[in-house]
This record gives sequence, C-alpha cells and structure tokens, in this order.
Amino acid sequence: MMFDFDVIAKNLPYLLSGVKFTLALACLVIVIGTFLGIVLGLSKLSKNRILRYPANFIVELTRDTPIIMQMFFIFFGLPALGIRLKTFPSAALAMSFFAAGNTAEIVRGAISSLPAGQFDAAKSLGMNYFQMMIYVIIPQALRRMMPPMMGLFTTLIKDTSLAAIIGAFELTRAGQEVIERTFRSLEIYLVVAAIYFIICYPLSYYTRKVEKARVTGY
Amino acid sequence: MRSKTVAVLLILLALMLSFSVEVTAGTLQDVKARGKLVAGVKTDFPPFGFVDEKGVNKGFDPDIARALAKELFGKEDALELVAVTSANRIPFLTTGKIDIILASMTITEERKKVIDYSIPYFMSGHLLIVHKDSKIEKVQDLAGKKVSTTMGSTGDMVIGKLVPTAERIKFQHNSESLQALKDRRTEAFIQDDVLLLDLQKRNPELKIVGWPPFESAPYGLGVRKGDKEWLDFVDATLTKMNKTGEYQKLWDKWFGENKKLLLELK
Amino acid sequence: MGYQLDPYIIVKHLPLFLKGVFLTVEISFFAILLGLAIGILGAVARTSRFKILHIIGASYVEVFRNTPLLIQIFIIFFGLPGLGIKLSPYISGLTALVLYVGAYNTEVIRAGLEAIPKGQVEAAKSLGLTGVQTFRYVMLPQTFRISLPALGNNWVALVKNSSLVSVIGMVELTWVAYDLNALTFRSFELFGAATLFYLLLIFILTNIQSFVEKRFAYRT
Repeated sequence: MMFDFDVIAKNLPYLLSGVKFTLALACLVIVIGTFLGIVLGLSKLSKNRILRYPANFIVELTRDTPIIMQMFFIFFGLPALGIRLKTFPSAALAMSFFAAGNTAEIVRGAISSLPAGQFDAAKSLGMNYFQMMIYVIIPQALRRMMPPMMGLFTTLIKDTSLAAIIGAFELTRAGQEVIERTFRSLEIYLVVAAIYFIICYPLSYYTRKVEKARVTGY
Repeated sequence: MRSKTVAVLLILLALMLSFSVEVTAGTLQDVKARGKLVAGVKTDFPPFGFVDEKGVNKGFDPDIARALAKELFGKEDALELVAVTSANRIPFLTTGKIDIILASMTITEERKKVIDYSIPYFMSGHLLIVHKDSKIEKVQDLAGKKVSTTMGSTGDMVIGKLVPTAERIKFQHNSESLQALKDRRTEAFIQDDVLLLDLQKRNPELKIVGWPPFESAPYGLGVRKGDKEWLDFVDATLTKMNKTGEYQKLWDKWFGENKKLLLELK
Repeated sequence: MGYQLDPYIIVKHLPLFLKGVFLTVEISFFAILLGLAIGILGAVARTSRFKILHIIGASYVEVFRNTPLLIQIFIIFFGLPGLGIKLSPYISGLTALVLYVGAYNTEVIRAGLEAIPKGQVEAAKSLGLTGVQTFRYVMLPQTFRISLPALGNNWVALVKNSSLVSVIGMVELTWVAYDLNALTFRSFELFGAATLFYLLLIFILTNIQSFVEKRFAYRT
C-alpha cells in the first residue's frame, strides 16, 4: 500500500483548524486548573478541617480516576442532576478538575519542601498568614513548582485529544473526520501525532533547561 | 485518605437514590427563544450524514434539519449541527445537548422506552459487506466468525439476535468498523443497506451480500419523551415536506441512484 | 418526568462489569511488567558509552512522551495494517501502553542509575565483578529502590491510561460502561460505578505501592 502524501497535503489545513481548539482548551484548562489547584493545595495544608477534608476528597477523586471517565461522567452523567454542559465545557471542566488535583499535589509538595526556617522567620517578623504566603512562601514555592507544572502542562495538551471521544472538535477529532472520509488512517494519524509533537516537544525541552538552571541556580 | 473518599462517594450515591430531577419538556419554546435549532447528525454515515473537505455537514439528515430550521425561523442557517454517533445520540438528546436526533436512527421498541419518534421518514434493512473473495453469502454464515459492528447500532443488536455465536467487535464509528473489515480483522461488517451501498462504491475490493435487506425497520427522528408540542411540529413539517414534494426531491438527490435496491417506505 | 436513579442496573450487569475490571487489571499487570523491562533497556541505552544508543533512546523517549497515548493506540491498531503489520486489539493495546509507560520509566530509571554513588561501581570493579554482574547485583537493586516512588506513580497512571484501549474495542472497564450506556442510557449509574471501580483499583494499587516502598525504598 502506497503512502499517500497527497491526502496529507489536501487535508492539512483542516487538521490545523483543529489545533486552534486544542490550544484553546489546553490554555483554558491550565489557567483554571492552576488557580483551583493552588487553592486546593493550600487547603490541603491548612490546619482547618473544614478546608482540608473537602480538599483531600476532591484531589483524591480527580487524581485516581481516568480523565476519560471524568469526562464521560460530567458530560453524560451530570444531567441526571440537572447540570447540562456541552462537549467543550464538559471536556474543559473534567480536565480542569484533573489539572487542579495534580496541581494541588505539586503545590503541597513544593511548600512542604521549604525549610521550616522560612515560616518561622516570617512569623517572627510579625507577618500574618497572607503576608507570609504572598511575600515569602509562594515566590519560593513557585520556583520549585515550575518543572513538575510544566510536565503537567505537556500532559494536559496531550490529554485534549481525549475530548474527541465525547465529540469535541479539536485536532484529534479533525483527524477522525478526515479518516471517515478518506480511510487513510496511517497517514492522517501520523501527521496528527507529528503536530502534537511539534507543539509539545519545545515545552519538554524548555522544562529540562529550567530544571538544569534551577539546580545550578542558587 | 482514599477509603474516606470512597465512603463519601457511597454516601452521596445513597442520598441520590431518592433524587429525581424534572426534565423540561418545552423544546419548541426553547428553540424559538434561542433562535436556532440544534440537531444531532452523523458524520460517519454517508449519504445520511457526512462531512466534506471544508468541514461542512452534508447529507439527507442535515438537509432535513435545514428544512426544519427554515420552517421555524424562515432561514436554513438558524441551525447548529452537532456530530453524534449511534452510541451517543440518545444520551446527547436526553441530556439536552441537542433538540432532535437526525441521525439515521432506526425505530425500535427499546429506544421507544427512552425517546419519542417522529413519523417514519426512511425505510432501511440490514446488509453485510465483505471482501470480494469471501464465501459468506447470508447472515447465518457468520456463525462463529468475527463481525464488525458499530456501538449502539441496530446491526449490532441484529447479530446478537440472529447469530449469537458470532464474535462481535464493536467500534464507535462506522469508519473504524469498516477499517477492521478492510484489514481482515473481521470477516464482515453489518450495517444499514443505504450506508453499505455508499461504502462499497468507494471501496471496490468489497462486495455486499445478504440480499434482500433483512430485519428491516423504518428510521425516525428522535425527540425527548413527552415533548408533544415539539413532536407535533416535527411531524407536521415532515408531512408538509411530503405533500409539497420536497421530501421526494431530497430522497432522489441522495438515494436516487440506488432506487431499485432500497426498500419502499409505506 | 424526572430522572429516576436505577442502581440495580449495575447489579444486573455485574458479570460484564467484573469481566471489564478483570481485563483492566490483566492488561495493566502485563503492561507494568513489560514496561519495566523496556524502561531498564531504555535507561541502559541512554547511559551507555555508545552515542548511537543515546540517540535511539532519547528519540524513543521524546516521541512517546510528547504525543498523546490515544493517537499512539490509533496508529498501532488502525495505522500499522497499512504497513502490513496487523496486531490484535489486545496486543495493540498492550504494545501502546508498554511503549508509553516504558518511555516514562526510562527517564525514571535513568535518574535512578545516575543517582548511584560512583563509589559503588568502583568498589564492584575492584572486587573483580564484570560489567554485567555489576549491573545486575549492584546497580539494579539500588536503582530500583531509589526509583520506586516515581515508578509507582507511573503504574497508577498506567491503570488510568488503560481506559483508552476501549477505543479499539477491548472489553475493559471503560468499554463496558460505554457500551451499556449505548444500550440502557443510564449514564449516571454506569459511569459512576465505573469511576468507583477505578478508585478501588487505584486504592489497592497505591496500598501495594506503599507497602513495597516501606520495605524496599531508600530514604535519601
């Protein structure tokens, strides 16, 4: 069977039109997930049980189940409770929860790894909780969070492909539509994989450089 | 930590056992207020529903959707077409993501329990598509063999009923089921006649067997249960299209060349 | 009319659910084992003296970590027949999972290898151990202990990722839930139940991981 370059050339524009949505979904999820994740991570560390228990619950739930199952549940299952979301918002919500759960763990790990001296020093300077967090803890934690967070971003970009399974239009779904018409699975899926690679590889590469810089940084 | 999570979930689940939520049955008003119709159509089922190179939905079902939009709002493009598959079209409808199913959906008693059907708008039976060198001639020949089916399709249920010893390999999209046949992972693919006729034309190494189309049943449009006003409107539109000859024009446009092979809609 | 919850739908189809759980466990189990082997091979390649192995190892890792698993599954199952390679759904799914987790394992094990104090290798050499013996008896056990937590995370991810082989028709847990949904439309109950099953599986897996870690892992 001949490798059909022609079908790739003809359909590349259509595939690239899906990339817009892939990136939009990823960015949306990264923003919401990071914000929610920081809140959850801080809640997990909180001495307050009202914050800690629900935070633990949500983090465990979203980290220990497959994303595709979370998508199916939010998309098909929630309407039983009256919550109806379309494909794109369902995928975004499911992935945001997943991102938040993982971010919370990264936040927790980063803050826990800070020397206790930092907290003590801040308190002895008379700072309250918020001042301590904003001026002392979070800036340092952010540096330690960067490598795992960037790994999470790469994972999220790849996981946008799962939205195709519930019918959302992005790169993978665009590829499936082309295959439904042309039946050239090998060529199209290879091109789709290549496009994902082109998007993700620079991110991985940059992550490694940041890691190296951090190690030799201070 | 995790045991607590599981425990909380089970408690929530138990609480919901008595939960019951009202489903609004007023689609006609909703659609009119929204200003556009949201219809679920297929993208893997030519000539009923497919997508061309520019990503535009084409086919018999999208055309009927356009006619409905025109009837509602006076313009064809007050319309949003959502891609559905045999497996998810009913969940899409019951969870409110689409107003109507226009997705080559056969009328079955099972489905009638969950949704309401319009008057029939197409008649279809099942056929098999196999490789040109295959010895299979009728559905009974599939006993003990591997068959591709598409999740949620009547073809899948028919095999289960007629040839329980056949091994069904199920996929989400018709294109994937066909691919499995082409790769000789399965010996046959069962689906509705009109789809297979179209697929065979584009895949000349395959042939269609199992004539005449068996286990035939009409297609209907799907709406949510109890949505009488909306259903009446849909039926009225279909009847009108029949009277004005618009239905016949669309039929000829999409099925004209296979006229002799397809079944008559009574 | 409202949505009446029907939990008995799960009870009615329990055999099929359990069949799905069993297949999820089975394919995850084999993928973990084979993925470990690939990981060791890959880590050896990336730390070897030969530049060509470096390049092959690095390419493998980068390709499989920067493309979605879903696409990898599609390529192996739907794409390879175009090159004359036809693998069954089970083997296709297993191969995809193994190659995917293998890439992540490679990096983890490589980090583990590089974390072993050089003194260990020198001591082994001075005792007269060959390269292979050094690797088998000195480096590998220590690598394993160091890498265990990270490897455990990869295994949890693997079990979750096994849900994707449902797209090539493998009758595992996610497939069962989706197929039953196409038949009965009881989405809340079905996907809720499947979610609980996954939680249970992961719960058991992480407990096993904690147990193994307590006994074997190094505290650095």
